[in-house]
Amino acid sequence: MRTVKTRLVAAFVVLQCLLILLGSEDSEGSSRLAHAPAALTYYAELSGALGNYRFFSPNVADPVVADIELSRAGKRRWHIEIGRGATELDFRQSTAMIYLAGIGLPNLQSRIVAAWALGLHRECDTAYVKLGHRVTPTMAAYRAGRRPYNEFYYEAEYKRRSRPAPLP
Amino acid sequence: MIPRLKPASSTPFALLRIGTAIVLLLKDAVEFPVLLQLYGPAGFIQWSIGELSLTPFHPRLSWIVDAAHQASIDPDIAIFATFGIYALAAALLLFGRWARACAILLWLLHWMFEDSAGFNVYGLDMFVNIALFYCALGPLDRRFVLARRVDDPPTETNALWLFLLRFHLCVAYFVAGFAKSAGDQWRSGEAIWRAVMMPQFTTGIDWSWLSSMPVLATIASCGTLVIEMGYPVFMNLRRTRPVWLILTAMLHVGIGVTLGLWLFASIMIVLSVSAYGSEYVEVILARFRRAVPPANRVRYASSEARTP
Repeated sequence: MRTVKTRLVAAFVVLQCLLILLGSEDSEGSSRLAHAPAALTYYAELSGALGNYRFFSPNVADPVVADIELSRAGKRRWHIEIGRGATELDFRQSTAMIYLAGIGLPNLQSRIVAAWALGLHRECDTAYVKLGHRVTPTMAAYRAGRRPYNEFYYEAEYKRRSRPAPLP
Repeated sequence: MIPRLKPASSTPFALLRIGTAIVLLLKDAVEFPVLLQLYGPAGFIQWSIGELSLTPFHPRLSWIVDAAHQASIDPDIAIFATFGIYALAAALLLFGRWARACAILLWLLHWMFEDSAGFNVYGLDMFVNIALFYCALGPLDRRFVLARRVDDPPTETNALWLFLLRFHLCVAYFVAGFAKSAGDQWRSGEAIWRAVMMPQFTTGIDWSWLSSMPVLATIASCGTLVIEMGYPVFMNLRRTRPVWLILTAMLHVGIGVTLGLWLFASIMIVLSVSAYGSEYVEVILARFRRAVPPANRVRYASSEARTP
């Protein structure tokens, strides 16, 4: 005979399996729980049942890059590239850039990048931001001499309105 | 009616607890120097923007910072203190001390950090969340802990939880492989080429030579599809399980080497080894115990003596 605890766990497991099946995103990138009650979606998210496992699919897209030039009184001080490097910060910034590019608001994306860069280098007063894609040629094109390059689709310049607050 | 399952030991969940704790400690070490840039109010994605996508019920660091502000505590100190608690809980989880409480706390804190990170969460965070869910609610082992070791008998509850963990991984791997199979880049090998050439995955290795050996890229990409889509079948067949476990681990080691995603690779290996590799780990441990002379096992023997 099963104990009450085992029966409860069995029922929970069945429901959780169902939630995992429904929560995994389909090829369109939407979950079948998208229109479920908020509490259920919330629980599915918390329990990991709501998952986007479609890494690098169906194809590997060109990564989003940002090129930032920081200057003070017209004199170039710093050059930052987002979407390059292999530290944890680089991975996470690249992920955020891909997400923001997916929203399709380059104006917002460039403001976020500029605000971050000016916050990091408080001595600078101007940030010139370029957003783009890193275009990788196919293997055949690479053999023929083509090389990866950045294709920029948005450029903007941001200036501070006021002096930054002193660092604590 | 749910069919009865053969009782299982809690060893898979011991491996999951220990492995997850190690990955969390490594993650903490990596994130500590850039903590405020990742999770701070004026980090890469400022809270005012990142929190726009959250419901009022999503736990977030701003709750802690607001509470700290009431007590005149600096926001940065509050974030570092929260991160310190997160690391301490991971260390306690590793040693099995107050494991349930620590796992639940980590689960909540992980979610807080994830929500406060804006849009910069990736696969690592999702699978750490899954691992912490099973650590927090799943069976607790009392065998691989520092104090008061107890050999609990196998139970059907353990088996049910193990079934759930395996089911979760099978769905994740199959969906990942199936989604890739729709892309022509994955069938031709271009996907591997493009991934290793991404500037964000620069690990110091120059992969440009791969363009002159496209067949290698095709083998790697088709191999990835086979391993991921075959996971639910070949992991659940006892005969093919060891081979598939090694192939899966190799796939993730490859991700670590080529893309530098070591933390992601580690948590995936921990999950697969916990779900499907506990019996092999038991065999290795038994061999190790036989290989080590009794004189060197005094401490272990004395702790075993306390086992009822």
